Amino acid sequence: MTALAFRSVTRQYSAGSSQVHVLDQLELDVAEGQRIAIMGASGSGKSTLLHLAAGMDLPDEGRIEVFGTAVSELDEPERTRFRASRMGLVFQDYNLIDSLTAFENIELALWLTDQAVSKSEVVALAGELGIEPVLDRRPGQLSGGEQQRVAIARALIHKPNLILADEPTGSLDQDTANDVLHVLQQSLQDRQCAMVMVTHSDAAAAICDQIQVLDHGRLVPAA
Amino acid sequence: MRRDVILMVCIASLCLVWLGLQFEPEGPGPVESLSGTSLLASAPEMFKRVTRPEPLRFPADHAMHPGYRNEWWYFTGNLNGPEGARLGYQFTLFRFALERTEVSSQTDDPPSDFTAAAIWMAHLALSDGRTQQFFQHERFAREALGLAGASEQRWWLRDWAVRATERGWHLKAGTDDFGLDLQLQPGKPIVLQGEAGYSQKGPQAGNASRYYSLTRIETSGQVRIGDALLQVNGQSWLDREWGSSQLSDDLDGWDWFALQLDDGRDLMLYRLRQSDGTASPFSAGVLVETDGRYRVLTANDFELTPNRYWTDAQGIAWPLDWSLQLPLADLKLEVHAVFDQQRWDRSVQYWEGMVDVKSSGAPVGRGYLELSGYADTGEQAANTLAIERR
Amino acid sequence: MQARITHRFFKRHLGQLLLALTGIAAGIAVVTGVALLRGALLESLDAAGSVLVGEQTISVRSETGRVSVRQYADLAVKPGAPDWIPVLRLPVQVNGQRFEIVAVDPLVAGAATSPMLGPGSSLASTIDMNGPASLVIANRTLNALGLDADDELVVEHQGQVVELPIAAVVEGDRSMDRRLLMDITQAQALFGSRGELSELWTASVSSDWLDEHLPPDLVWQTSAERRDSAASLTAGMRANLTAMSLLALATGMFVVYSVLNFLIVQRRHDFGMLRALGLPPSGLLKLLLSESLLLAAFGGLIGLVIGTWLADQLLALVAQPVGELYGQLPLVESAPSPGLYTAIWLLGLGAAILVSVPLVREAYRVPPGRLVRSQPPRGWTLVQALGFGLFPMLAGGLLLLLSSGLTAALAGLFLILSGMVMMMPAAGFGLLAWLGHLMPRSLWGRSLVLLQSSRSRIAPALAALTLALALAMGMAMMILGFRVALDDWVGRLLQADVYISVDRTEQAVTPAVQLDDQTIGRIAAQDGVAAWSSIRQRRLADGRRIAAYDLPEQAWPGFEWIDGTPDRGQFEAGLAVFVTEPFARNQDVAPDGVIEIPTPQGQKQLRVAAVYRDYSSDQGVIAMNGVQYRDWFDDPIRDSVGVYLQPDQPLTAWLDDLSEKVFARQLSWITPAEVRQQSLDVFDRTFRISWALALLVGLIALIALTSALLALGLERAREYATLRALGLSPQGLMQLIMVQTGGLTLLALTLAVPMALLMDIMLSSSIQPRAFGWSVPLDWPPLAPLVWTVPLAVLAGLLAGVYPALRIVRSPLIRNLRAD
Ligand SMILES: Nc1ncnc2c1ncn2[C@@H]1O[C@H](COP(=O)(O)OP(=O)(O)O)[C@@H](O)[C@H]1O
Ligand SMILES: [Mg+2]
Repeated sequence: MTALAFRSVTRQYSAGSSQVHVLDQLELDVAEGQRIAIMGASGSGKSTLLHLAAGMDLPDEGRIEVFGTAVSELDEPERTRFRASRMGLVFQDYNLIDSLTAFENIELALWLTDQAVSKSEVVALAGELGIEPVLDRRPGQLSGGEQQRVAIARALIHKPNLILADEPTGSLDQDTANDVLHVLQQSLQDRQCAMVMVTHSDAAAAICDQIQVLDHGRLVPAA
Repeated sequence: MRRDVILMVCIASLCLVWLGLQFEPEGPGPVESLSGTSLLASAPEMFKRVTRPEPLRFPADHAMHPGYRNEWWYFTGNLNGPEGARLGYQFTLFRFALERTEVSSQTDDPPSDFTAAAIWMAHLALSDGRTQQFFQHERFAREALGLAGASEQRWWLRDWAVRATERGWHLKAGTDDFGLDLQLQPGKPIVLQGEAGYSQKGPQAGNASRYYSLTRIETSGQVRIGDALLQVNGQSWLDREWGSSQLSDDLDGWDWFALQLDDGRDLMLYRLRQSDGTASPFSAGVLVETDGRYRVLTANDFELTPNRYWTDAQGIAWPLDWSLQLPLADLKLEVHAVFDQQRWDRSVQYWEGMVDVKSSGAPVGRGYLELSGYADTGEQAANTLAIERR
Repeated sequence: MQARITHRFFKRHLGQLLLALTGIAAGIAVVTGVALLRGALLESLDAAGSVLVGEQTISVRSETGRVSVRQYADLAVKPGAPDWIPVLRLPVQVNGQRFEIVAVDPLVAGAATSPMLGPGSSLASTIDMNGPASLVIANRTLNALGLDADDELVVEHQGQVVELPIAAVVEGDRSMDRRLLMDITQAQALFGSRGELSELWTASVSSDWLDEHLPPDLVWQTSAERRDSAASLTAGMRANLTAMSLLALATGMFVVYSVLNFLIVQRRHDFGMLRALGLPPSGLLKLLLSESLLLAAFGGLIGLVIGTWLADQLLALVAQPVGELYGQLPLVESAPSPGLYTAIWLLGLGAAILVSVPLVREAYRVPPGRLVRSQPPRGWTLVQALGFGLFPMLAGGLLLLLSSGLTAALAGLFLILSGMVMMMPAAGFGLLAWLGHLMPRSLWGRSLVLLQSSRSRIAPALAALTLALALAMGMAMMILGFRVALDDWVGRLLQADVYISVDRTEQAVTPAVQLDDQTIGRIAAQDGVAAWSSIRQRRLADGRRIAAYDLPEQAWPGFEWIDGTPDRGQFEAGLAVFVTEPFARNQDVAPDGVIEIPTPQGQKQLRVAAVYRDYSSDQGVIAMNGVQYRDWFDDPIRDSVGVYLQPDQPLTAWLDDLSEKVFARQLSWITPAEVRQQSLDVFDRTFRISWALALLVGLIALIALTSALLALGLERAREYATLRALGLSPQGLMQLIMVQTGGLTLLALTLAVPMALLMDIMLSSSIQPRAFGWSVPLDWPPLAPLVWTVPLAVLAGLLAGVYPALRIVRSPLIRNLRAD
């Protein structure tokens, strides 16, 4: 079963009088457990693609399926529920909630999917990601790498089948980025979780099975 | 951006202008409207008029004459103080009857404590020849609550009063700055002016007043200037006059002379000035002999010529030196103001002051000169008339 | 360039700009309004004399009431007497507003050149004494009435209505506001007030002359003395107003702070970028300060305009009570001066700079370059806050305890309130955290916990909201509590079945019947009368009042004794008097003290036996035996007679008997219930101004609430987007925001209620006695204000929350996710 499928997806924005096709009849297939890196020039539409996949944005044409469900045909609450239960999101700027501790930030994903919080589970995942000692700290007291690990934990805790990551190492230095990529790869492998990761970094792309380049609204396999 | 800045500036200026409009100008502004001050000079029908001679009785006629529009008790006098000090005084009570005669009868229960048939005005002035100072004070009162009135025995406005004494009168009046306390004793009998006291001043019936005088009154007593008391003696003059609309409309004013000559004769002359500047044919006078006999003078009997004008601070020219010719008595006199500044500037603007009388440069007597109607323009005229109207 | 940055920003955030301007304008408006109102109360002080006669006016009044016309006539003809101007003042109603007829003798008044009428014009030439009765009115008063010079004024005096034409319109002076000048003859004739005068004026007279000639019951005062004593009358009222307006300003400043603060939140990103591009800190300082100042300058101007308008509205509210209570006429409109405007405007600028300081500090903390989310500054911990807050509270408490002055009490109130305000954010957020932890797993708990990160942002708005709510509720509680006390007092005071006085409406001209011994004898001789009481009131020249009582057994429970021993025998023997609480406080007398009163028989000394509760006059009343009073003052008349009927005697039948058989329609009567209603009506009118202020403060609370919630929404936009991205549904988000806004409102209310109670207690037990002399018995605080305010505030809070919530929920998720 495909984890994520884009079928001739078009997304366009009007720029003044003309229409800009950010995504143009785009096709994409991600198999279960498959990790795909999406690269491409800035402004080529990578984030747009991720937002569409997450159901946070809707295509102008075409169809998007996640685990067989046509996300683009669900209504807003259904999409939200679907996203919460099946997907995990990782952002470049982590987007942690300042007022909550690392633990609570991770817990948030469980709460939003109405799952019982198992403290041991959180602690175990944190241990896996190397952030167990900082669980009771707030985001402001964490380093960039730690924050991104918390964000990854938040994306994984509710056991999604698809991770959507938008430049997860974009704000990190090389060494920290490598650390984070390492734990991410490890966690995904253990869970048989698919991932679409937008990145500019070759190192990041290297943890993926496949690299696609977004150019003129379409994906082409990297050379 | 410019548009928004302009918008802000506009709103701000609007606010500022609005706030600026909230301030009141400092101090009082001018009166916006006066109640229709009709400038009528003639008295309404309800007042009695003097139309013919009628016998006068004394002391009954010393008292006031209700029913007439106006009446006055007019003292002037030249006094000698210590060390040759030269002093002059004026004390006048004016009575102006109000139009509401229906409430004037004292017998009815009046609707107000202040209901009055007339209002009274008193003028008190003192001329100090040494310092050339002119003191003046004016006061008013209603003819109610015993504030003002005139009986045979007493003529008064509050504490300024003239009381009858055995041989004449006792005049007492004063302010903080100056005061008079004078014993007055007539030296000659009463002079009835005009035709036995019927003094015609205009062509119309009713352009006349009842008029009598005491032209020489021996005077002694005290004059107070500030805190200084001066013993004085000299001669006073009393004019008594009442009537309604005695002046005709075309008159501008009058020049009135009351002269006491060293030879014992007294001379009263008044020149009624017409709008064209000439003397009215109703100008008149009287010449009183030493023994009290007198001769009434008419306009043709005398000639008055102004020789010198004094211009006051307001720019009004007052004729203060005169030549006087009375051929029938073979009199050729010069009249000079003792000093210029003897001008009233209260409700009524006029010149009233002591004068020297000379003949060919030699002093031959003293007197009082009254000049009226020179300053009666605009506002002042309205004021004067507003008071006379009452 | 800097201007362009500012311009672009505000252009994009017009709503915020308007909110900021509103906050500043509202604060300035309240201060301006109250400052002008204060001025209007002060400037209106009775200076009619100095306007008509000149600055040096001396006025002569009677120690014992009115100057008789006879006395005037005697004084006028005394040797060396000055030009006395007889003055009759008559309280009248015009257009339902309180006015005063000042009737003078234009003849005498006109002889002195009147400053009011300008050079060359005398009153004598302005008022036509010959014509029908007419009025001279000042321009501004005429405008305020909305009339023209050709219109007639409908003037009501003691039930008698007359139409009077306008003789002249003069520029006048402020002290001619609400005063109508008339010829005394016409006024006496019209209103039938012969025989007595209110006072005599003169421009100049030596004190020696006065000492020599003034009869013993007449006293004289210079203009300045008169103004001073008039000023002291309304001092308490003005002090209260000022205190309230300053509190309103403080609340307004919190609003300004939170609005400016929230403008900065919006621009953290811009600031970071500008700093990265090389803008030095001083440049940032300049940018922020000039923006604050521009906002304050512009908002201040608008505030001045609104405040001026407000002052006139407030003035309309106080005109009646000030007249009723103090015999004073306020101006017809406020009298602003460039100085006052400038001062208040500068105050606004100063406050803007003040609130900018912490904001600039915060802006400095934005690191240059790419945005790294910096930790928002932490507020004080609860312990710190308690420590810092306790300090001013203690100081305030000490001030209240140690001093007895009104200003000190107000300062104490201020300190205590500011201490509470300092504790408020920490206490409030502590409470929130605790609540949040009570229900950790629910949306509610989460929502409240999520609020914590906005703490520094919300704290000032929360403080403003709490303070405003507490002020509004505390004032309302005090007013209502006082009203209850007044009601109790009136209810107790009026022991008789009916009170009878001479009917003034039927016969405006001197009534044929007077309430003297003979009339009272005839009333008492009626069948069914068990007992009767009587009272005669007299105002002494210094403002003290005498109430001369004839009291039967039945009347005595009407007094509520506060101090001393009310010895009835001594009172009835004329050996002792009772004084009211305000009297005791104002004159500083205690039981067994001795007071002196001037009587026609000279100064008399009276021993004070006891102090009783009274709310009828804040100047104080001396209650003395009627027999003694009539002896000393030679005044056999009573103002009113209370009749106690026999138990089986129906009131209506008795009254029918009285009116038909005894005094056909010459007497009027009033039942205790009616008196009570009238007293409460007067009370309600008196406190309209306080209600208005409470309402204004409530309005500021609403602005504070809106700004707080908007700030919350905008600050949390990214957080909300993240939650949405992580799977929170739009409904869930909406609910979360509503819980947060509702929670904040409830929090503010929770904190405001104890503060309001404290304010009520302080106002009732400290401020009232010091301002007016009377105390209000401490009782259960009236809860009506809470019952009203709580749902209203929650509703307002929810409404104010809905808008930003809707905006956030509807705005594109992706943009908020990215933008920061
Ligand atoms: N809401 C929008 N309105 C108009 N244009 C948009 C909008 N969102 C994105 N774009 C445009 O779509 C293009 C792709 O954006 P994005 O997906 O963010 O690029 P990338 O993530 O590859 O840098 C860009 O040119 C951007 O300007
Ligand atoms: Mg992107």
